[in-house]
Amino acid sequence: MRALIVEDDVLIQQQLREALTHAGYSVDAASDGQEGLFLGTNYPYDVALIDLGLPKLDGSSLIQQLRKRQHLYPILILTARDAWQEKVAALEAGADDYVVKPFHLQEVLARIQVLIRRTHGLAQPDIQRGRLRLNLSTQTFWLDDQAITLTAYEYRVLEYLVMHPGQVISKTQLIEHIYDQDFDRDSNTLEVFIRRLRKKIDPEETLNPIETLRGRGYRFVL
Amino acid sequence: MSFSFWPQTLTARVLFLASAALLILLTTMALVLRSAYHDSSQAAERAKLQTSIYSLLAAAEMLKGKLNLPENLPDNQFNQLSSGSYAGVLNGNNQWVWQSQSSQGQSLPVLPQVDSGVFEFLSLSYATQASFALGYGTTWKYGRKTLPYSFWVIVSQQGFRAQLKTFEDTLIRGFLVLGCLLGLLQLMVLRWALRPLKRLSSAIVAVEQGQQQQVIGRYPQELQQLVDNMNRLIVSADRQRQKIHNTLADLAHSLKTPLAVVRNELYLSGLRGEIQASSNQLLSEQTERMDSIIQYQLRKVARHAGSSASVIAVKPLMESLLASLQKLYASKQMSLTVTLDDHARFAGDADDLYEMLGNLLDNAFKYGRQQIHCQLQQGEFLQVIIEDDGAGLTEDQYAAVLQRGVRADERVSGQGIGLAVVNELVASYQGQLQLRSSHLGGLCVELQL
Repeated sequence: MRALIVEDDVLIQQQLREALTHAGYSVDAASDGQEGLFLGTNYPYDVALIDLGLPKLDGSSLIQQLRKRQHLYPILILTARDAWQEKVAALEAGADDYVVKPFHLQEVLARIQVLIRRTHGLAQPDIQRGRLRLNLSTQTFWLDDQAITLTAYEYRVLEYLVMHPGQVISKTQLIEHIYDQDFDRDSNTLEVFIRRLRKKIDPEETLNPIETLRGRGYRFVL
Repeated sequence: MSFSFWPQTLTARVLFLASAALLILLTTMALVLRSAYHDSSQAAERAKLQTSIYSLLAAAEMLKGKLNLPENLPDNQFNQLSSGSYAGVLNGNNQWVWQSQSSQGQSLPVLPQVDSGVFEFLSLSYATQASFALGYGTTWKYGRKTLPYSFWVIVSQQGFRAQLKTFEDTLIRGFLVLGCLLGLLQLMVLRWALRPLKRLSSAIVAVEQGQQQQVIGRYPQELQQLVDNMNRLIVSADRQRQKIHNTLADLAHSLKTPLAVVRNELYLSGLRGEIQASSNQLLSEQTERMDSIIQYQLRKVARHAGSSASVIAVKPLMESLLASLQKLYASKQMSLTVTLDDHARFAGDADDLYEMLGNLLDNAFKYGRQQIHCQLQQGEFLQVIIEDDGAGLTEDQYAAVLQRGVRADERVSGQGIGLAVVNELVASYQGQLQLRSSHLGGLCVELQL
């Protein structure tokens, strides 16, 4: 999953980036509203964390601009001012949830997960697809009752595919959602990840959960 | 409160003083008029007596050294016995040499000799009646002798007194009516003159209740200066309040951001294994406590600083809050039953109303299981009822969560500072907040503002 952080306080931005990266997200960060708008409109994010008090373009206006341009990914507001009037204004501008500073990073991560789940119509963190089961909170994956160990990037690829079952996901789309903008994107690396994933989650090659559509991408079929 | 002799209202004071002045003025006028009428009536009586004396002089003649007057005088009053009008002539020896038929059988009073050519006017009592007497001194030549005589006419004051009494009665009645009319006129003038003050008082109440931002309208010159100064004061107080509000908001922002950094760093250090778990927990608890105290104290100060009154329609604000909370708690899929009165109004600060309703609704969404009932009604007061089907509170907890002045770090566990904040806000508007058990099974909060 790819997340956008728009926060002008460098320390908080770094901490959020570290926490989200640690939690398995690929993260881009912007320090002002305009940069946030540029990133938010040019890259396909799965979630955005936006501070309300931003330089150049304030948080509420940034959210309004993103929604106006039909970017519908969930948005979590970070705010130091917890007056209800401001929360309501930000939620009416198009945000989906808020956390008040000084927030707990665990709470931010939990809220992001809930928002992403809600976007994909999932009520619980557990997703069962045939014999495969994924828990979004613990980021663990099971084949029947046996836990399978995945690397961070393998998990990101699998999570994205599982959350878009039956959809054809192009390589570019997949790359954009698992890597941040600074990463050296190589489609061959992705193919390596897919191959390794197939071996790990379907060692007997009986399920074939990830379908390759030549020239078009991949599809999770369970 | 100390007792004061003076009336406490401006109208009563002016009315009291003006009425006292009016009473003194009318009484003095009545006394002067009565005195003038008395003097003029007396002068008229004297003139009448003078005419009678001239008639007597005309009728008198000297025969053989003796002054003679006819038995019947032209003025019939002097011919009828005890008519109240009497006449007599004194000789130089102070003896009555002649007296009118009206005084036959009774002696005339002792009266002095009057110098020749002089009139003397007296008030005396004669025949048991108060009377006026006018004497005129004259001399008569008889041979080589000059004989002095004093002609006296006496008349009862009965007619004069009756006339004076009639005048006095008319005067008193007239002045009473005049006094009442002037009093009434004075009251009307006073009311008219004080009307701008009443208007100003209503305008100040309207500003106080938030129906208008400033004292508006034109006032008489004497008051306009006061109104202008008052408006300048209101604007300046508003600016000052806004400045404090902004400063506090900035302070909150600048305090919370470094606190967030500290808290996050603790979490990340834990992840990196750079800090012992026990130290991490201790530091986390302390930053948590600092955060709670800052939040509580800032809210408390901001509440007093930020209040600027206006009249707010409550329904749209409630709808905004409900829409936002439904978005926030979308996963709970709460069933809402909402009855909102279109006419519900709140006279106060919009931020305060957002805080009160936001905190109460947030609690209902947070602790409710599936159902929330919201009711908004405008009667004499604004009534807000919010119910949920959560676990609710015990009666012992009601008092504890509403207790004002309980510090954030001493609050009832799990209740947040929401209810304490709401309770303090409600108290600042002299409203009422009641907690009871809801028929839905959870907590029912009733707010009256």
